[in-house]
Amino acid sequence: MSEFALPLAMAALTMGGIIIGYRVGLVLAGTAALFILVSDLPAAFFKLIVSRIYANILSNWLFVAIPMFIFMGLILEKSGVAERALRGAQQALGGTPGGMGISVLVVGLLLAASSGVVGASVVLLALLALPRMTEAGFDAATGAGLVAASGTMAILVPPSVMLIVLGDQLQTSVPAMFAGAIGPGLLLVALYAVYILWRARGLPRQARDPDAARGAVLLAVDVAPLVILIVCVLGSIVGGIATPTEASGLGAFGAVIVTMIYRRFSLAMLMDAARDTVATTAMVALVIIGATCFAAVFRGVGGDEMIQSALGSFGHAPWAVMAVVMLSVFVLGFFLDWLEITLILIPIFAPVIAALDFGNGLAGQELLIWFGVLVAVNLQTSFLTPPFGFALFYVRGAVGDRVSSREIYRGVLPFIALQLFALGLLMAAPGLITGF
Amino acid sequence: MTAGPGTGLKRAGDALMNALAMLVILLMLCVVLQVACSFLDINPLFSLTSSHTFIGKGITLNSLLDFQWHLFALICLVPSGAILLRDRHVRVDFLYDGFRPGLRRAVDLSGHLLFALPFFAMALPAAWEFAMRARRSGEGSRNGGLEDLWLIKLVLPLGLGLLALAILIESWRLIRAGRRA
Amino acid sequence: ALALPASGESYTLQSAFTKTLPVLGPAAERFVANVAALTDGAVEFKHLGAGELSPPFEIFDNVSVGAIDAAWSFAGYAAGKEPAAALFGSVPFGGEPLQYISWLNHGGGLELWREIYAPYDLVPMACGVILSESGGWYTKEIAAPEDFQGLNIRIGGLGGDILSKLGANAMSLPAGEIATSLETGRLDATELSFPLVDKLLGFDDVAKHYYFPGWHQPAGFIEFYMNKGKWDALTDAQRTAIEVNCNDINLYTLGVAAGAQSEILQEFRDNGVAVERFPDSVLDALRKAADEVYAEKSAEDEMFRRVIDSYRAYGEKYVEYQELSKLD
Ligand code: NA
Ligand code: NA
Repeated sequence: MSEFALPLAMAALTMGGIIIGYRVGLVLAGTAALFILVSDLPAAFFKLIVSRIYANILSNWLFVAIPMFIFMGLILEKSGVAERALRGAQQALGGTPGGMGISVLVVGLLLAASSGVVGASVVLLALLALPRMTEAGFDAATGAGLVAASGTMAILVPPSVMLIVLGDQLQTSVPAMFAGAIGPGLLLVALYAVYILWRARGLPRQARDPDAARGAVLLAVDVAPLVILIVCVLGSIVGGIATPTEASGLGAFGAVIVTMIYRRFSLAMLMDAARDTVATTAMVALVIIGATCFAAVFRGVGGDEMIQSALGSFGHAPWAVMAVVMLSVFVLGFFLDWLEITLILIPIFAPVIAALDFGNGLAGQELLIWFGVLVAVNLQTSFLTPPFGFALFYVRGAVGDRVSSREIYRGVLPFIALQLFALGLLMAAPGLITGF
Repeated sequence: MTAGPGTGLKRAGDALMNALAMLVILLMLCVVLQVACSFLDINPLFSLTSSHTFIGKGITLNSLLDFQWHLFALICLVPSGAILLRDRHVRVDFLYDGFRPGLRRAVDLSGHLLFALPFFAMALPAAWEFAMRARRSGEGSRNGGLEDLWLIKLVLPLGLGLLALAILIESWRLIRAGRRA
Repeated sequence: ALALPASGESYTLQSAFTKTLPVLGPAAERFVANVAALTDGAVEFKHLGAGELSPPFEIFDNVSVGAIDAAWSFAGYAAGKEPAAALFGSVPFGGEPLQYISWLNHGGGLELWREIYAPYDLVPMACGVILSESGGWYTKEIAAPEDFQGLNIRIGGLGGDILSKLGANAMSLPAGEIATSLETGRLDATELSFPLVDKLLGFDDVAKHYYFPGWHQPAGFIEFYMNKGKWDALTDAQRTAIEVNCNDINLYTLGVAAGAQSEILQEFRDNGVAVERFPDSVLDALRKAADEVYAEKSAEDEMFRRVIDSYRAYGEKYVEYQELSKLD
């Protein structure tokens, strides 16, 4: 293993720095810098890192969705429109804590269907839903877990940047990958719903809001803002007016209009929301910047070869190969981000998988799509796994001191278990993927 | 209380955040304008006979597209230093929260020394050179968008420089607090 | 690691393309293996897929400063820095592949290319000739030049400039948004590659008009370039091995792609796609727009003028004999 001393030391230093509590983005960037200096990489590698920050993050137009969705969430939250709307949705579902959980889940699913970037949807959902979950009686951990898990659905439910990259690497059709992810997305929502209802069973039903004991019309007025925004965002995509990235800007604009209709608009509120958007975007960006530096150096010192040689030591029996791939994606997910995992693993495994017979009647393109979606569900799980789960960082960054890292970690564990259960189910029943 | 360097710094930070907040609103309006123009088939928005700095020979839908990521670049990197001074950058705090104040200071200071120092010492000159290289080659759009890319590439040394400055200020505060304790 | 425990020297070769891409993926592997074989293992390229170390559009800079040793890319990506570089990716309304490579090797093209890249410390050469591409996927019929008015199309570079002259909105959306946008109607059309590659993206499910010819790219080059310091440090034999292998790849890419398109076209037809030619009136309008763009770019950039003039001068000589030799 001595030839892999550098990548191993890199992983260890990063984990150490993150766990003792230094800023995540700076740990990643700093580890990258240190290992350029101690390895035989040329000093010009710093120039490469700078070009990665510029090309992968700063000039990546898809990331415009991050500030726009965050802005939309903050406007809804600060104006009080979100609170009223989610309470209304809860009332419509019987006014129970479980009703609130399901409302949040539905909003999360709709957000996922209009966004392809995890940072945006997780932060938005954390802002909107976490306070309501706590109010409804859920502990902070469960609330944070639900927010993180349903926020990461954005990367699995089409449109999704991850499915596009996977489709590219696997050389399968993007529309087919999108179709393949619909079943797993619905399966996960169903599992989350069952879990949230089970958690809610012992919670006291809240005293019915006297205001809320109103007619269906008034209830509709409460819930209308969410409906309007979903029409703005999803409707503009489906109607061919906007791309998913453009739709995020329309969503923010729609939120401003909604606050005006509900007479909650003020310039002070708008600026306050915009200032917080700047802070949260910068927070998300530093983590991604660190990750892109880390990944380049990790590969430069032979991290990808370390992973390849570790994988090469396993056999070629179909299900053994599958197990190795799934396990490595899951384990790498503890400290690498999805894009790097995809770039390292898929080129190695795509040709191997394409030639295997899993005894489930799948072959060719269908086989690759099944495999690709399995990897996607696994990668989605990697957003949730501590210590390096992007979704966990975003929840923490969005809600500040209201929830501790410890609570977030505790809250996501049941959801990770559900994800793994779903993964097993999808392996056993490929029809859930290929049947759509 | 007299206004010390701390309050001056805070006021500068607030002013910066306010300016960037307006860019968020501008970004939103820019996306709306782009969607409206492509829906109504308005392209270019206007044309010029000669080429100008930054906008080139007019404003096209590609210029608007480029302008959006320019704004995003400013929003995501320039405030990083101010955010550090407000301690908003993500840390995993399940151990850190339980540490004594002295140990927390030690974590932050040694983190600055071990991680931040090598990164900024090497990345800042590289970022500056990155922008200057674009300036020398007169790098512009590949597809009729915004020109003079070195202007936006300057955000890299600027944003990273402000972050490095904030780390210096925080280090100084941590050392001072350590002496007092 | 970058320094492999092999007997030879290891060089990073950053590709702008996905490793698993048909034609280009195997071509890169063939190149790497053959260079190693012909240099007795003294020159080992480590082939990196798109984005592994350098992002595609930054490869030029990163090889220039020596962070990466060599590149396998598309010259059009450097057009923001050097407008004339676009003409070494493809020449809209230019000639077929044989004319393009002949001009490069025997008509003064390569010398101009090396002159353009020299200030960046890069030594370029063609290392893959690309067959004529398709004219793109359209969700609407293009019956006359007026149909381009207000058409939202994803196309970059000179092709985009030319279409803009006819009133199209030539957008540079990232690849990630194309499929969704075509399906929903936010985009009306997109330019892509030849059928073998287009098939993989599944556009036959979302756009039902597949147009020919690919006027924006009747022939294309994949470029190989190396950092000048690294290039100069090679022995004569090693440099020759690289150049000879690039010429092998020029023939290989053309041959592999040429015979493999027909089956795919049939699959598209079976999926309800109309495979059709742009009407002559449309091609005439595009050709006229292309001449305007060439005139403008030549006025703005001296090197652009020299390259396009060189290409056209060679073309006149080339075409005469081709015409005489035609059997029908
Ligand atoms: Na999504
Ligand atoms: Na993880």
